[in-house]
Amino acid sequence: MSALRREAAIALAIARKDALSELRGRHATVSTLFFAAVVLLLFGFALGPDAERLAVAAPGLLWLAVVFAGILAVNRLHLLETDDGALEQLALYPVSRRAIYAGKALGGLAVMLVLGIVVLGAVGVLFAVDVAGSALPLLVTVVLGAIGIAAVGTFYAGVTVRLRAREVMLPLLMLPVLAPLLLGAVKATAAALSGDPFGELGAWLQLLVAFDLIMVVAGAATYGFLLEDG
Amino acid sequence: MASGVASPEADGLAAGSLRVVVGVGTGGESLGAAAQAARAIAMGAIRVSGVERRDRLTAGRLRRQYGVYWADTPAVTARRRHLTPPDADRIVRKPTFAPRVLSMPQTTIYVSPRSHGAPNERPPAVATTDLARLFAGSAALAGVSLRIEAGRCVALLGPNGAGKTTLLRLLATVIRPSYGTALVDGLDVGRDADLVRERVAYLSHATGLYDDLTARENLDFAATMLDTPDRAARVERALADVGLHERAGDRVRDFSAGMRRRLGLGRLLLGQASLILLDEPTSALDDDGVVLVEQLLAAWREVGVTVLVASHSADRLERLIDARVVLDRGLVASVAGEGVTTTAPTADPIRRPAVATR
Repeated sequence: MSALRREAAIALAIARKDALSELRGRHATVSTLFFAAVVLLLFGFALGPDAERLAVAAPGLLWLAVVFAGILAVNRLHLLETDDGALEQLALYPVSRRAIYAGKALGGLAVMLVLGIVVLGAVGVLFAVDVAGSALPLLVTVVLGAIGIAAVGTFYAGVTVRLRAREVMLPLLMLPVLAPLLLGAVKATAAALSGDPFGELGAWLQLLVAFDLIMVVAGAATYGFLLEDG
Repeated sequence: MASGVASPEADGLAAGSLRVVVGVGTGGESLGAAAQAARAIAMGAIRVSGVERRDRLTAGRLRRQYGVYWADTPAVTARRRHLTPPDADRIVRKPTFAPRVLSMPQTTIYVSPRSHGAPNERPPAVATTDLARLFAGSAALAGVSLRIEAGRCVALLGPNGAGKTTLLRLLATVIRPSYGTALVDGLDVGRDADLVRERVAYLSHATGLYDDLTARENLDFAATMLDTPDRAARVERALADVGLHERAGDRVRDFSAGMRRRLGLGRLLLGQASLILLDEPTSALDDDGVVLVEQLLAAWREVGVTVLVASHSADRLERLIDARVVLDRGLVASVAGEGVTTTAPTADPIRRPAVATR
């Protein structure tokens, strides 16, 4: 088996293990979906019943909900590894650290995709925006955004997983790094929802692709150091 | 075709490294030359930059004998020092020697090629020099110089806080030394951590299992990580060996501490480690579980795997142990038995200048 195929097999095994744990324990999905729904409702209440204002704010609210809930999700997925020394055991396997990162990020991506699509639908319903009319560009935006959040989240969850104050530290570390993604995703979503009258959608999607590439490469290259316990 | 050891300079390799070329043909002299180099590699005397395969049969023989691996192409070998992971080259089945445990008719140990060969042909399983580990300025290990010959079963004894677990964690590459060096099979646990992980299996206090997966799924995941050949059969075998076959489909969340411990022991049977580190392996186990540990220790010892067992007391495992190392406050207090030697630390690690190996 070539080294690359072996790494892919390891990454898939880790992602499968996380998916099985998630399906059975529902550690991340239920709580994060509920949290995202609460965030959307609260923002809706704060902005008032003006439908036009809600529609304008919808892209921003969508991505704030996804990012906040995504932080919870990646944290929950990494907490699976803290039970009974599982993270230490994972680090002891003679496997590429890059493959471990890829596996954890794939698990995070799966949760983020579910989260992004559900929240997108909820925004369509709650804020009366036409999501179905521009489904393809919106889905592309959600996929690119989910990849970025999973890539950054997996790395920073690895940084904070051994900390007592991880629930506080994770958003503090992640949110500044996610700022370009948030900007690109909100602008791309707004452009998609408005029919892209200025032809800017492509540029924002390119920003998201570049962000994802940088974060995936940086995360894969450095995640191994996080697995070492001093 | 001539074969043997080419000079590093001629192949453009880094100084201090050698390229082993296994030639086509069956001549005894070509095998001898390559085997000489392979033995040197296995002894840790030289660092491998590349092993080029020309003859699958001869290379396979060397690999089985000395644990030398190779990459597929010279271009790959030029870039990679760490070669392909091990396959299951040899399977040794050990008959029952403690028939009390009905759930375990036989113990199957899959032997690493590195565990084979005469003891004098293998590097020491463990060699530490002034090994120290500090936590917040206080020394959990304060300068341990220990040499454990390959194939021994050694008890690591001492009171709480003596440094037993710290020593095991250092050898397992979980943590890095603050000072000093630690070699496993001649490989540095800091510099060559990836290679050391291929040789070491560690069962700590925590079992490292996933609560929401079943026993079978946990072992299957471990087998994937360890690249275990014939995975499904090996997992079933390991489950049977540790007496959990009937509970294989149950989630680990519902397991008792003793059953989790058994499953952790089952995971050790999936790899091909040449050094096994056990931290209080009998804790939480019932009498049958302790017998299981005894069986495993005996089987590992029989096939030349080195085992290091940390325990408060070695009474139950007495007859299986070759040597005892007693630690006290981070230092070796005494050594007794065969295959283990120690020397006094050369300096106080806390006062030593900061020249950490990491």
